[in-house]
Amino acid sequence: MTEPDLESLLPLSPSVFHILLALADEERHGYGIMQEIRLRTDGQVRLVPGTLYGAIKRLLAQQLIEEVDARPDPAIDDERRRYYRLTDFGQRVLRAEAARLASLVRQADAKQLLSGWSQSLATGGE
Amino acid sequence: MRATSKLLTLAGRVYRLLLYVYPTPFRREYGFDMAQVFRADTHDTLQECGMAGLIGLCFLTFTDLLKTAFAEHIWEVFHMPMEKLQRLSGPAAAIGGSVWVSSIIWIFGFEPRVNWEILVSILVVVFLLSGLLMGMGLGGLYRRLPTGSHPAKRLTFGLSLLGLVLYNAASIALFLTMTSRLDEFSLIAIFGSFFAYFLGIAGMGIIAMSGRVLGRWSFTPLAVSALGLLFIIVVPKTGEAGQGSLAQSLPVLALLALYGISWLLLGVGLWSTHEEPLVRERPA
Repeated sequence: MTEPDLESLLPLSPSVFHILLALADEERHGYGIMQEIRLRTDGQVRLVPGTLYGAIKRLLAQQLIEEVDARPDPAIDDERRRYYRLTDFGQRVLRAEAARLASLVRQADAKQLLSGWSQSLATGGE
Repeated sequence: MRATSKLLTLAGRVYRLLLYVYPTPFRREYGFDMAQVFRADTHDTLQECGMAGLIGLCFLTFTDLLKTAFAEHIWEVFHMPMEKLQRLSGPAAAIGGSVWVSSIIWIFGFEPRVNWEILVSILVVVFLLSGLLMGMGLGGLYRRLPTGSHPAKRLTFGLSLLGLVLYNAASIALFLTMTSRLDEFSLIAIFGSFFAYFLGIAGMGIIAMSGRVLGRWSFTPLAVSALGLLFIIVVPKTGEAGQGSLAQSLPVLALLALYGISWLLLGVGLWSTHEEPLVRERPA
């Protein structure tokens, strides 16, 4: 099966980017992905099941993520839970999107749009 | 504590029931996981944020459910049949073209001794059958177009589908009314729908040519649209020359046959390039 064109998948939607980011360091189940996103964004981004599994379905179809065959130990976790992980292609797409966003931030910084913002962030928005 | 537990159970049951709003394949694949996630999420939210948080989550989840269920239904319509259609699009377009050519040769070339009503009925059946098969071919072509050209390919595919549906609706109306004479409004509607149909195919043809998506057959969608557009320009002029002259006009017959042949070639193109990559490789 041929991989889709990487460029054609960019830019990623915010929810897809967050899901891929959640899977960047370890494999997780659906609720694990939701929890990781909520924690990482201080609750500012909150996915709900419909959006999450709709995105998972598309990411599986685009070969950006894959389901992990091994099931968790029933003593530790519900063995019916499905775990997902990034594919190599998904890793490349995530890196490309992160680079694209970093480039945008650099452009904004070059126009001195971030100087006041970073001070505001440091002082907690006061 | 028992009251909150009952509330969570009730919310879970309502959510499981609401999952039936999703298309069946999606629900079968992810319904259990979604219900499990919802159960865990409502449990944790109630503990962390109390009743207000739970109500907020339920509201968010149910509005998201309606939105995503609609999106999944649209996805099913536009993707699942298209995937099957992609495999069949080549043979379908080729058969559609063949049906068209053989019918045109039989009806206008051999002039069968049948009355007008039967001839109209045969023509309408040919229109509907070949239109359906050609529509499948269009679906396959749409799936081959480069993903980078999304707005243009959607617009042109939409235009061609609209035209296809309208002219087939007109064919059914003709069949039901069995009329041999068309008023001015009907003629404008039919030729307008034909125009939209061929204009849409022309747009798809330009995208197909620029991306060389059908290899050496990439010219065929443009050929289909060019012959079709030529046909709707020539036919009214031929009709003005007098009744009966249409069937006897060799250029019109040739045009009709060539139109069918171009569909046949488009089908061959879709068929023969089926295993090729969907998009052209970009230079490194």
